[in-house]
Amino acid sequence: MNHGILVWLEVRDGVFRKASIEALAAARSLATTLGGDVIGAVTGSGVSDLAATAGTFGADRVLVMDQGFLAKPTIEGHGRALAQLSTHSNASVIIAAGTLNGRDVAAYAAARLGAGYIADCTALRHEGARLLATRPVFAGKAITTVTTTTSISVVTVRPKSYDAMPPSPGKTVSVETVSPAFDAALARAVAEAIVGNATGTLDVSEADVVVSGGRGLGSPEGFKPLEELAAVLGGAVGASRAVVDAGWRDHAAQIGQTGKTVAPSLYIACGISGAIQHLAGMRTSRVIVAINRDPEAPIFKVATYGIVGDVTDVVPALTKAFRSALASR
Amino acid sequence: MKIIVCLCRVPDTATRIVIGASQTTIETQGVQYIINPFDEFALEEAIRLKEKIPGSTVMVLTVGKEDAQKDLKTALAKGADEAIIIKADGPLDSLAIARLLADTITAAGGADAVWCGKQSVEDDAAAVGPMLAAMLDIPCVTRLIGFEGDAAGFTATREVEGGRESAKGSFPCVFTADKGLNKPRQAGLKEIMAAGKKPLRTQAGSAQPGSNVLQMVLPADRAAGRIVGEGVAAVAPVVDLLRNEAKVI
Ligand SMILES: Cc1cc2nc3c(=O)[nH]c(=O)nc-3n(C[C@H](O)[C@H](O)[C@H](O)COP(=O)(O)OP(=O)(O)OC[C@H]3O[C@@H](n4cnc5c(N)ncnc54)[C@H](O)[C@@H]3O)c2cc1C
Ligand SMILES: Nc1ncnc2c1ncn2[C@@H]1O[C@H](COP(=O)(O)O)[C@@H](O)[C@H]1O
Repeated sequence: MNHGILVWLEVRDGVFRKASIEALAAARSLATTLGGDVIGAVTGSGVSDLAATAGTFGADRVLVMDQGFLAKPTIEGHGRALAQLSTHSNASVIIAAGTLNGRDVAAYAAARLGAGYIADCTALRHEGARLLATRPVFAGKAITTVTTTTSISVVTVRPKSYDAMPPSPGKTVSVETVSPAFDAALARAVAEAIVGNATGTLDVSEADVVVSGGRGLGSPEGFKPLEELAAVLGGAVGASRAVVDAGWRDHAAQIGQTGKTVAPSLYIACGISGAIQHLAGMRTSRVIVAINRDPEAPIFKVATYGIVGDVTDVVPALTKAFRSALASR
Repeated sequence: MKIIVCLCRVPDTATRIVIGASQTTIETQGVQYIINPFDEFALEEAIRLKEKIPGSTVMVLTVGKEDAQKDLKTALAKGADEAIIIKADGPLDSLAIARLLADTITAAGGADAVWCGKQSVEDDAAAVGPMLAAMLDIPCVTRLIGFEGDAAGFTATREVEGGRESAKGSFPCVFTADKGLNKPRQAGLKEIMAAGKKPLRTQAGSAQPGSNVLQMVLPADRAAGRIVGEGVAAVAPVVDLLRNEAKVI
C-alpha cells in the first residue's frame, strides 16, 4: 500500500533547485496511478516561508525542518533530517533530485532507514506496489530496470529527466514543522567551516547547451572562442579529459565516463575525437554537433550534424551565425 | 591513525559492453578489470595521510572475489599495510556493500578516516561513501579535489555545481575522492616483492540488498551521424538545421 511520496526539495540561494521541482513532477506522475499524497520535505535554516510555496510546484502538503544547524549543506545534517521526515510522513517512496547534494543526502538517508536506494534514475513507474526505476550504468553504456525489496524505497532522479509542471502560483498547502529528534551537534562536525565560494558559473550538468572542447583546440587560449559561442547560446563550456589532464581546463568541466554525464538539448563538440569514454558522458544529448578536421573521427558517428573543418575558422563563424539567428527570432 | 580504503574493481573504461545471458548483468567473459579510477585517488590520499601522521596504518577492503588479489597486492605494494577481500554470495547493491564494509570496519575496531572513490564507474551510484558514514555514524565529505590533513583535523576542497567549496572538520570522517585530488604513485619492483609478505586475507560476509536489477539492455542506438559539409561553408546550413529541423534554437 502506498502511504505517500516524499520529495526532498533542495534549497540553494533561497530558492528550490530546478531539479527538485522536476523531482516533484516525477512524484506527481507516480502518484497519479499509485495514489497517495505528494509531500514536500524542506530542510534548512530560514526556509519556512519558502516551504510554504511548495504547493505552487505540485506538493499536496509540506514538512519542514527549519534549524540553524541546517544552514550548510552537510550530508549528515540534511541526511538525518530527511530520514526523520521520511519516518514522520510514513511515505513509501522518497525522491530527491539527482544533484550532487541530493545524491549524497538521499544515500545517507536510505542507509539510516535501511531502505533500498536507486540512484540517478531517468524514469520511474510502478507495477502494482512495486517501484520500477530506469537507470543507466557504465556511464550510459547499458540501461537497467531496478526495483527495491524494502518497504521504503529511496530514489534520486537525474536532472532534466522530467519536465517541471507549470506552477500554480499562490496555491497554499499545509505546512507542518518538525523538530529534530537527533543530536544536532553531530551534524555540525563538518558543517562548522564549510565556506562556499562558488564562482557562480553555469555547470555543464545543468546547462541546456554545452560547448565542449578537446585537444584539437591546440592550447588553453583556444577555448576563448568556445566561451564566446557558449555565451551567445547561454550555455556552459565542457572539455575532454585530454585537455583537463593537460591542465587547460578545470576538472569540473570534464565530460565523460570519469567526468560528468550530460544530456543537454544541444552539445557542440569542437576538436574532440570522440573516444568511447567521452561518448559515454554525452551520447544521450538531444542534438550533437561536431566540428573536427578529420572526417574519420569517431565523434561523427554520433553527431546529428557534422562539420569537417578547422575549429579556428568554424567556431567563430558559428558564433556569428547563431548571434544573428537568435537576434532575428 | 587508522585509515581504511574501500576499493572496487570495474571493467576497463574502454570495454564494449555486452549483456550477459541472465539479462541482468554484463557478460564478464573477456572483460579486463581494473581498480576503479576514483579509488586510485582514494588509496593515494590514504597513503599520504599515513606517511604524514606517524604510527598510522592503512587497511584496504574490497567486497568481491578471490580475483581481487592482484589489485590488492598492488595496493599493498603502494603502501597499504593490510588487505581483506570480503566475499558474499548473491547479487549485492550499494546498501549491502556498505553494510559489509561497515561491519568489517566496526569489527576491526572502527576507523579515523575512511576513503572511498566518489563513484564506481561500473554502477555510477556514488552511494557507498555516504551510506558508510550513516552506518558508522560519522560525518562525510564527498568528491574531494584537495585535502590537507594532520592529527588535529583536515581541510578539504570539493566540487559543487558551478564552483568549489572548502570544508573543515575533524576525524573520524568518511571521504570520497574525485579526479584531481592527487597523482597516484606507481609501485616499484622492490615494493611489489615486499608486498608479498603483507597480510592479505579473505573472509565471508553476508548482507541483504535493498534493490535488485530486473533487466539490463543496451541503450537505443543514436541515428547515424550526418556530415553536413566542410569548413565555414557548412555553418549556415547547420544553424538552419538546428533551427528548422532539430528545433533546438
Ligand atoms: C580510465 C579512463 C577514463 C577516461 N575518461 C574520460 C572522460 O571522462 N572523458 C574524456 O573525454 N575522455 C576520457 N578518457 C580519455 C579518452 O580515451 C581520450 O583519450 C580523450 O577523450 C581524448 O580527448 P580529445 O578528443 O580532446 O583528444 P584527441 O583524441 O587527441 O582528439 C583531438 C581531435 O581534434 C581534432 N583536431 C585537431 N586539430 C583540429 C583543428 N584545428 N580543428 C578541428 N579538429 C581538430 C583531431 O582530428 C582529433 O580528432 C579516459 C581514458 C581512460 C583510460
Ligand atoms: N565492492 C566494493 N568493495 C569495496 N568498496 C566498494 C565496492 N563498491 C563500491 N565501493 C566503494 O564505494 C565507492 C562508490 O561506489 P558506488 O557507490 O558503487 O558508486 C567506490 O569508489 C569504492 O570506493
